[in-house]
Amino acid sequence: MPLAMETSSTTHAPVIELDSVQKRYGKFLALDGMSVKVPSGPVGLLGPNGAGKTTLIKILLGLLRANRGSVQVLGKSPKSRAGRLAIRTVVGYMPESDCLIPGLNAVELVSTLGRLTGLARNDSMTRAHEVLDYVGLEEARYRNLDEYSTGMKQRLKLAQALVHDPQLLLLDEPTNGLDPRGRKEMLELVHDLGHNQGKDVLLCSHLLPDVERTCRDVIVLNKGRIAQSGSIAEMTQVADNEVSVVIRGEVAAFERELELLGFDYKSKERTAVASGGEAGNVSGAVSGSVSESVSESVSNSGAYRVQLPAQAEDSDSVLGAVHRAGCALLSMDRIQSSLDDVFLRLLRDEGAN
Amino acid sequence: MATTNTEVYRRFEGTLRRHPFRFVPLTLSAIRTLTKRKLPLILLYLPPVITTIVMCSMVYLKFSLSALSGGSDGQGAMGMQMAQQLLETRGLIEQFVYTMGVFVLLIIAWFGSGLIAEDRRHKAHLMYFARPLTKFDYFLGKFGVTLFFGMLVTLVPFLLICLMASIASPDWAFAKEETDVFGACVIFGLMWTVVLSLLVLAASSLVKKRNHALLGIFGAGMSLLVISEIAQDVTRDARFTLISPLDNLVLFSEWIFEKDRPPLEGDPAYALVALAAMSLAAFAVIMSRLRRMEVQG
Repeated sequence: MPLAMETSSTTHAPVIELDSVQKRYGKFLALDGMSVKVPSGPVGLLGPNGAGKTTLIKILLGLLRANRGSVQVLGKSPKSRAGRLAIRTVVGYMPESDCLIPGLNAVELVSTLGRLTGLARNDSMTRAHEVLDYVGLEEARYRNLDEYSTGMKQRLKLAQALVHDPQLLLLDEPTNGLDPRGRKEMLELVHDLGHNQGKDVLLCSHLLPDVERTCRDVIVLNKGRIAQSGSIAEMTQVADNEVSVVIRGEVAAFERELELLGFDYKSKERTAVASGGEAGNVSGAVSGSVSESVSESVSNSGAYRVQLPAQAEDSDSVLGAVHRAGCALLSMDRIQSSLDDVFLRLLRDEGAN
Repeated sequence: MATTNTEVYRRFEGTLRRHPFRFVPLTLSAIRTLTKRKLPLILLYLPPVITTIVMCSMVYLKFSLSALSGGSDGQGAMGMQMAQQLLETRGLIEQFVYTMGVFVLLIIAWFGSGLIAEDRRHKAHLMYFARPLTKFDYFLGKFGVTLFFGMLVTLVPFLLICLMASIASPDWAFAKEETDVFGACVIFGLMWTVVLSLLVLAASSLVKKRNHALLGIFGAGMSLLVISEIAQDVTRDARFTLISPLDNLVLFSEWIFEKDRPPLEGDPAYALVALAAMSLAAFAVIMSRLRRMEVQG
């Protein structure tokens, strides 16, 4: 059974449906019976190098033929020629490698590719200028591609993927080789397309922050299999049942209360303010039992990371501890682990299995 | 809105159409790219242009000078003189056409050798085949480029010189009396361009670098020519010309120009069959390579 990604967007028809898709290169199994329903909106395809991301994208476009299983992209199958051509009309593909033809300039390249997709001559020229403006290549549009920097080439590849205004964008490592500024700008474009322009985006990357910043949902691939898929928010939220607490008052009393409740905690930072008014910083991670006794005459503030037991339904017990310790609660937030943590844990689990 | 620039994304409100001649943009784009490099264009096209100008001038002068010198020898002598001039002009045109055969080989090899190889090297075919483009569209797109450059050095000058002969001859006598030369020129141009284009594109589809394709084309061409010559000398069998595409092209061309004593021995019909077989083999190689580029198994 295909693994449906449980997100808010699953109410819509899935953009991509894979059922037991297998791809083999000789003895190497690149995709191992992959089944998933990809919802509309921006979705990240995450995985380490060699996980099968590019193979999957090529199968979706019909550039590679799967050995087994069925594939549906926007309701069409790339198995037949008619299906392939129909998919390629409504999909924009940004390949990982340069793929640019030397000797042309950006307008020539983008308008030619637009015409090949079915745009009329005038439309393709207009669209070429529009999308080049959009990706920020307006001033370099007549420059020969040989003179383009890596960042400009990446933008150009995005522009050519957008020229026919496709519903679905397949972006293969769009931030590859970009400097931090270029990367930020590229991610802003991808974010804009996925969140504001209503495009379905499948962003293929091995960089977790890229996916985290631009996508709502994620499919984690490892060794040709789906390690996990779902909404990023849910995936990172349920990972750890931790809260961040900032209090002011008798921190030692608060720590005693936490120990009585049997909660693990870490003291992230403490500030001790003497009655005379001089402030001193007593910082450092303190785990488990009370570690430092702070004079009763000192008023403190502290930040804690409290791990709630698995059975704890909410964080009310932490509030009770704050109250009983006579402290003032400055803030309390549920801690979300980063996608990084989730990803590494998944890879670890996969490795253990 | 993206903050990298002030432009917003604009939706395309028109419709996408499946054009029957989808390969045309591919051809035009490749021609545009290849013509940006001026030096090869000048080096490869200047000699045929000069040859065309010289030959056109010779044809023109042949008729003009005879018109100035003749006129008092009576109708019969004039008729004989005209027949002689037409025959000489035909000979000049044949000589011109054969000379251009060398140029068309060089030009198609130069401009065609990188067409598929460079796309493979840069992986540009990924962007082409991510569009609704079939392998046959792609083939036609590349074939159109070699046809264009080949025709520039065959059909265009051939028709020009025939036109010049017709205009310069009294009462369009050349056009009326030597109509078959027009046809022969067109067939020669098409045959050389199509066969050489297919062979060059097949070589280009097999490698990833243009220089390798060029080496392959000239290496294979010269090798087959030498093998054919040696085999003919050793066995005294003219059928060995069939293994060399160039020999076959020359043999067939001699036949279409109805040469009385062709320098090459052999049956033009067999030459035509050999050329057809070579072209089909080249086409099969190209399509097989393109199938792998379009969809990998």
